[in-house]
Amino acid sequence: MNETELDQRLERLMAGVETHLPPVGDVRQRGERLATRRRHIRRASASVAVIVPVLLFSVFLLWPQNGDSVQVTSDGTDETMESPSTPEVDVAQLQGRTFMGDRVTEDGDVRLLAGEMPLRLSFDAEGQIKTSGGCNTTEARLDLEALAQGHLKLEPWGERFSTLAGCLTTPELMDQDTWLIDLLDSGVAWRLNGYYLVLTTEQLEIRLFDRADQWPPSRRDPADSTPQDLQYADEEQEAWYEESGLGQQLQRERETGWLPVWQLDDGRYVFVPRERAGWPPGAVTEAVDAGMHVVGYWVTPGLFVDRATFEASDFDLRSAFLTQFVHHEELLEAFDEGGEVGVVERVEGAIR
Amino acid sequence: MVKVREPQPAAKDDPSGDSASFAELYESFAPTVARAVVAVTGSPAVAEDITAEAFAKAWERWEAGLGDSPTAKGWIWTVAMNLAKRRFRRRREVPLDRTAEDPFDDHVRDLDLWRAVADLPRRQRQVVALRYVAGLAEHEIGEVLGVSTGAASASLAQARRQLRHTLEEAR
Repeated sequence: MNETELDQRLERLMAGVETHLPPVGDVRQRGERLATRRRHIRRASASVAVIVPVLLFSVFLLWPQNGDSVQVTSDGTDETMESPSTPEVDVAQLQGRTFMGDRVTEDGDVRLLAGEMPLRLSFDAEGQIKTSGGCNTTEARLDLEALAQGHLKLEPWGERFSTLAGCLTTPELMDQDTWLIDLLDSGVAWRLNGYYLVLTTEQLEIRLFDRADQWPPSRRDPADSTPQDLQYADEEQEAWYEESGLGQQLQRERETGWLPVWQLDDGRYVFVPRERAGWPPGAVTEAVDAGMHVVGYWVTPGLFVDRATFEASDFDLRSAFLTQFVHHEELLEAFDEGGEVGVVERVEGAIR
Repeated sequence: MVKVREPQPAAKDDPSGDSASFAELYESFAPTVARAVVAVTGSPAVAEDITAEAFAKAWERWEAGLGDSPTAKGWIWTVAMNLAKRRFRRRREVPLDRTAEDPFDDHVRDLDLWRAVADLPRRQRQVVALRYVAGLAEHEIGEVLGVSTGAASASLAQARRQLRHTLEEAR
């Protein structure tokens, strides 16, 4: 069979496919529902209620003074000091830390978020929090009483400051700012789980990791280990392939010949610059972000001069990839509507 | 982005202009999209849902400028193909069920070829669909799928080679 015959058969075959599409009115209604859902997300923060003097006075009485240490349990359920059997975590564990991430699950499904690692929460030692959903940063005061009771909640009558970036080309990020503020206005349960800050409501779970983990990077001699190449191929060819969402800096470096590769190194998953000459400026955090996208968020990231590592006690490469496939698809959804696809990396071979 | 549609601004004095232009595009273009997605997913029901979803997303943005965009069709192709890809990812790339649904009318049947298409990897099915249903050139296929023209050409060549091989074996 020559190519012309094949082309003709394919054209006839495809022309014969029958479908029964819904009427255009139904499609428009579906689009309206999508728009309504988007508008809900964009709703403005609720206006601040009138301050009730009695409530203010109560808060004043309960307000921890400087130097006080508020104790909560690790799962954020109770702050009772009289309960020695309950593991306790000092709220001070949040102080000075910045948590970031993009992993939100809603009723068990991963929720689409725009931007790379858009969610950020920074805690200072004075009970102030800085929040960002990807565009502006809002600084507000935490409700410390709620915090001690296991809820992360903004003080509704406290002063708030916000940057005023327009983000005109990415209004989704502004929506996420509003969504995050609304969420913190309502209050979410919080707990520290290893390196992660986990925020939960009845429907949502947000998992943020500590930006400063193992920072600054410590030097490690590449000769200390003999990395085994991790090779994997296209799943469609009955093997595996990897697609990591690299940032712009890494893409540029890739275009100029600097190509990071993944390696399996003594049970760890390692992301190294090919030349072992160190990270190009600006690429380090992007590499970590890319790695976290790939292997999930329950691993410990490590940054070194010549590599980034991801470790977990029960690390399972296969499971990590399965998770990444699902999660990365959600990230791709953000690109769907912009007509862009953020997949830039592909490494081929076979898992050994 | 693929430029396959000329700008068609709605009449300013016609409040239903957006709606009319969307309906016109839906009636003329959605069946083509649906046929292509059938070729990718193997399921008319899934393809109809994906096509409706892609057009619903388009309607959501129609008045905001998509309706006047020369890239509207390319945008819809990209959304539809990504929705199809995601559907497969969630199903863990379950191979097409070649017998569950018969997407053909009674007059045009080439089940050997259909089965050969169904046996192609998903990316190659996408390329075949965009070439033989949408009639896109290779560089346009690359733009829709977010790959280089060379990669699209290579996938198409591999698909053709595999189809010929499968059909000759079936003889």
